[in-house]
Amino acid sequence: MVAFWAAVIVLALLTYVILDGYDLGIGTLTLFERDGDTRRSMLEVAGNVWDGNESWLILLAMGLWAGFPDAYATALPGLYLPLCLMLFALIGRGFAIEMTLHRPGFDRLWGRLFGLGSLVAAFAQGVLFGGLLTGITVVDQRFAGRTWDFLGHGYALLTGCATVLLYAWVGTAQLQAKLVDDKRRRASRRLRAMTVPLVLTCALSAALLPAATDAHLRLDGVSRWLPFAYCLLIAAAGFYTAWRWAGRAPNQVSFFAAAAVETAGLLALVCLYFPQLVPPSVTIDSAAAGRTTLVFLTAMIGILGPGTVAYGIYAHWVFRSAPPASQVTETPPAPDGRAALSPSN
Amino acid sequence: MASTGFIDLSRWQFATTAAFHMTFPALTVGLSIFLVICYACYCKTDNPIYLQMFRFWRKIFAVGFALGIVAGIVLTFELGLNWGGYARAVGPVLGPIICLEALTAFFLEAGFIGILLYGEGRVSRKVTMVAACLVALGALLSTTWILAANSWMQTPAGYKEVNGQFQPTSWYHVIFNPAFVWRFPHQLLAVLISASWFIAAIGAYYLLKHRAAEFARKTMSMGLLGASLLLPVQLYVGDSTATYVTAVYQPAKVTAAEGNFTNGNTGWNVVVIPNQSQQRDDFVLSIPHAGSVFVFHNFSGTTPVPGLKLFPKALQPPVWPTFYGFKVMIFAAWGMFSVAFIGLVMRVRRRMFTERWFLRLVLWTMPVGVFATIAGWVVSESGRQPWLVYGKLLVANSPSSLSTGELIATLVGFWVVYLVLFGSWVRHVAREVRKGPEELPPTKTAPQSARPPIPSRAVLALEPTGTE
Ligand code: HDD
Ligand code: HEM
Ligand code: HEM
Repeated sequence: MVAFWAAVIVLALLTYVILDGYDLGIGTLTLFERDGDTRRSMLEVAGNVWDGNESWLILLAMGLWAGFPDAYATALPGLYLPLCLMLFALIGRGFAIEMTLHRPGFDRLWGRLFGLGSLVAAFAQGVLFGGLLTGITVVDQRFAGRTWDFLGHGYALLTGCATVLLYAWVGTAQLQAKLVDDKRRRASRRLRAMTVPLVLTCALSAALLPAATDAHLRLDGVSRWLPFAYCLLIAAAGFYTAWRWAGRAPNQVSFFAAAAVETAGLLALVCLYFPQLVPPSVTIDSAAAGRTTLVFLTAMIGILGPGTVAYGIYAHWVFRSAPPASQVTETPPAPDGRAALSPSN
Repeated sequence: MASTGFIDLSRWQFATTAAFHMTFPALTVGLSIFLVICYACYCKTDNPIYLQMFRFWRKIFAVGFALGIVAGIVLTFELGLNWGGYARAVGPVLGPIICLEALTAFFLEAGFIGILLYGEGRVSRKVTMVAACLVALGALLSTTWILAANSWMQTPAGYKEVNGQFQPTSWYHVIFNPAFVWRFPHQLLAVLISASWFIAAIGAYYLLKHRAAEFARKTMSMGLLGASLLLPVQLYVGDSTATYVTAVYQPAKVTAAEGNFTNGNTGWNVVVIPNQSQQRDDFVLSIPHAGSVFVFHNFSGTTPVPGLKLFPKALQPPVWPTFYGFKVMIFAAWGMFSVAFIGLVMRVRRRMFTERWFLRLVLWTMPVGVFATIAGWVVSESGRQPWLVYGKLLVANSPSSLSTGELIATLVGFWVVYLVLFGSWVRHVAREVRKGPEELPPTKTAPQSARPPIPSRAVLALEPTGTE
């Protein structure tokens, strides 16, 4: 039961990173996009999904709190500053999206804030993930470290930058699937250009991790190193696929490959860290809530989970980048192909 | 353990961020239901005025909703960030309830808000209607679960204590704890009243400006009708909350709300200057005998209201916020009730839409419901001090070990960010209101064809780019 709930948490984290990752990435990229029209398109891609994606963040946080209260009560104070930074950024960004989306064009102030908020949120998430990986001092089930411990002698800054880059990369993969024509071509060029720096940054983070962390990284036993090796292979394949398929049909391939990279990366870390939840000392068993709580949670996810996923998919399907029906029936397509609405060319 | 000054910083942080969050659900829960009503009327009658109302209020709703979400996310994290001891102790009981909130309410809202806001034209009327209902349902469920969680802190039930943690033994008793049964309807009515009042006030604004007459009359009538139906119920429910919940489980809260230190006062205090360290009131202005009537429903007015000295000083709640929070709530309740009553009488005599003083009164009291709601929370939360989980867990044992510097920095940060957001939100609402509802679609039969340019969420290729 404990392991099951831990798996749910990992799944929620993964879903969050994949989904909000791309919309944070897209937001970050608006800062570097000069063409106003493309910026507006990017805003709409992110605006469509941000609130749904952030629901996963809440589920992640509350799932952790409910299932592993000790982990919640120690990791959060330990990562206080990057978490607050993330919250500020998410607040500003969410508000900015709604403010710009309701007006035509790309509002200068709110648009800028949307980009900046996305960038800062991505960086803060990377920092806090790095802070978690390097370890948090816990004594008597309470956080007992100091304010700046999360930096892990600077390691967290590296993971912060890596995350910004990763999200931007995944965001580009999403963009090249959703945009059309010229915008798509530019997005796919960018996707390729970003792949190599990203691979290098990830490799660097991985290489420095053993030196930076207080946690016990373990690869003993075939049940650890074999899946770990697979994860590395999948990640490598994912990088290659995303790079190779950029700009080609079917255009979702790159995005799914990018998602596979994220999945593999996270699972590789699980292989290294299991069963530590807040490394080094809090494990999933020491932090788990009692049996009644876990039974309740398991039943809850079993009953409500499928429905939630189903209508989530429906909601995305409605906005699967088709035009409003009335627009199709009521406005005849312009002869110059401006109303060519399908993303294929 | 942690020093008081240090704890106060975390308290201020929670209190202000929670009050900020509360502002938005106080409007959006009611608005989500109002949208359902408008759209249902539209589907039923095909009268475009309802579509106009639906579209107008949807714009106001959307941004408030977004602010509610981001401010809500802050709160969930804050429970762990600043209150690590609390998070550890109550996680097994309250965590699952908020998880349920996330799964039943937040995902539901997030899934269908897009269709509600931008789906017109993409989906049929029926689907829009269903989406509106589901968003409203999500908002209601959210209120339910959060009230269950907070009420459990007020009157904990259905748990056992193991290793300094609360472990649930009966989910039924955890959720349907004694306070929940009354506080939930009280809260629900509160947010509906707040929204009704807001809606009525905007209607009054247009009537005063002689704009969009039909829209304005319908809006104001519906808002005021809602308020005048709900307010009497609220007076009853509020009184029952005080009598059956607060007085029974948290007598100290009632005494603090009444503002007496010594026993014997039968009056109802209107103004006090409490001096808690000396355990007396420096100044009291009270209505004779009324306290006895209000608190004990003793109409001879002779039963004295008990005073705070009954409780050890260390276990007394602070009088200032509890007392004045209570007064604001009560005066707002009676004030709104009276205005709604006058409105009703004038409506029957067909004068409501023209009496300018009345319209002005409604307009200027626009936020009073929200004030009452926040004041009510100040009573609830200050009045349960010094406990976090009543009678079981002290606030003093609950904070995380943080440094004062980071608390001050983030507190200031939240205030600055929230002030800016709040200002922008008010400006946004004011601008939308000044812009007014869209023109009515020309004919009844083809309201769809006059669609305004609603920004569609994912239509990327729609704008002429010229690059093709
Ligand atoms: C429009 C808003 C509104 C109005 C008109 C009233 N209230 Fe209220 N009150 C609230 C909004 C509210 C609230 C914000 O919703 C609270 C805070 C927590 C809760 O559950 O409800 C609340 C709490 C609250 C409490 C504290 C409950 C506790 O925590 O133990 C009491 C005793 C009352 N109310 C009593 C009243 C009375 C006697 C009223 C009328 C005569 C009244 N309220 C009108
Ligand atoms: C949204 C409406 C709410 C408002 C306006 C509100 C208001 C407040 C206020 C004024 C305080 C400070 C009390 C004092 O120190 O005197 C406070 C504290 C607190 N509240 Fe709330 N509250 C709300 C809902 C909740 C809910 C639903 C929960 C729990 C799930 C909660 C948990 C807490 C905690 C943990 C503290 C800090 C500890 C303390 O000072 O008691 N609050 N809140
Ligand atoms: C009694 C007080 C509260 C009520 C009535 C309430 C109600 C709501 C409602 C209706 C929403 C939907 C968004 C909106 O309509 O603006 C919402 C959002 C949210 N609330 Fe509260 N809330 C309260 C207090 C709290 C507290 C104390 C917490 C933290 C534990 C919290 C956490 C959240 C979160 C995380 C969201 C975002 C939901 C989303 O993604 O859709 N709320 N709240």
